[in-house]
Amino acid sequence: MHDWGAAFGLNYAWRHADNVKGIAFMEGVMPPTYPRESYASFGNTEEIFRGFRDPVRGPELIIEKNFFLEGLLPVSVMRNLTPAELEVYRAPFAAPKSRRAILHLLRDNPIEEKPANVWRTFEEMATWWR
Amino acid sequence: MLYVSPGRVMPLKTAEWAVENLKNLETAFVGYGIHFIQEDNPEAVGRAIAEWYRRLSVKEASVQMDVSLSAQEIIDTVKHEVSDPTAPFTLLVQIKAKPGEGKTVATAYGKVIEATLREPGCIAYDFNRDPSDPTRFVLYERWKNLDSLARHFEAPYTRELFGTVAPLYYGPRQLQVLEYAGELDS
Repeated sequence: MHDWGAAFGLNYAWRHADNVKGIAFMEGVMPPTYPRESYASFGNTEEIFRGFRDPVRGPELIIEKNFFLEGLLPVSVMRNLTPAELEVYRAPFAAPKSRRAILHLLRDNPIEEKPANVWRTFEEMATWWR
Repeated sequence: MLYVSPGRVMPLKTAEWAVENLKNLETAFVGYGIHFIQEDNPEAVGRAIAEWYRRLSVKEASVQMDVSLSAQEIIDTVKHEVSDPTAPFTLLVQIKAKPGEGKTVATAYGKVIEATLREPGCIAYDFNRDPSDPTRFVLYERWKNLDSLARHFEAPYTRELFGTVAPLYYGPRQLQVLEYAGELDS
């Protein structure tokens, strides 16, 4: 499982420990990386992450400019993705309104105690795992 | 945890911290990458997950057994689950009898205990009941190897036992195949 998928997997394992032998994950939005105490810990990407929650900049970046797929995806892979490969990632998000789901997940990353319900759940999962 | 260098959400220093501080964690370094590791190192990711899953499966394999499973099907299941069929293994069997049939099931198992314990391939054969539920039993069996279990199933008293209790089971038996985590008798 990867990124937010790892968070969902850990959450299932936490709630249904008797039905899970183990989970395989990488680059997960989960403990120990999240919850995160401060935006400052993001270093040079701090402003980008702050922008996701901004009521104006968030939708502009992710929904209008498709920044997640056009900006973040290519620089998050070492090799150069081919145009055909990039198209596969773009296909489900051709319509701008479909990108609301991406923005929603980016805003759900628990940072500085927000969103409160996600923060609380991540803290409980982190305590369980330690 | 699969991790890469430099990584982004879970960079190298996070992996190192996790190894020191998180319980029940295995880590696998899968090469160089940033965030979408599957795009940079798909083969390494696949190999690491396959190896991890194989280890996980042999350490503690658990299957649901239907009441209709034959002795041969149980042997096939054990053969599939254990890492070495010539090494000792444990069977943990949870039995639920139909309402009112607990005593008949207990008596039938009670009759075969002594003879089973005399079998050269039997290390343990403990038949236990749930003190709060007269229809619930747990059988702890330990065998020197898979052949020992096969011979046990061929014994006339075992065949008679299976014939008696099979219609009295309430739902599937839960059978767990286990191996020693230490080196006690291998």
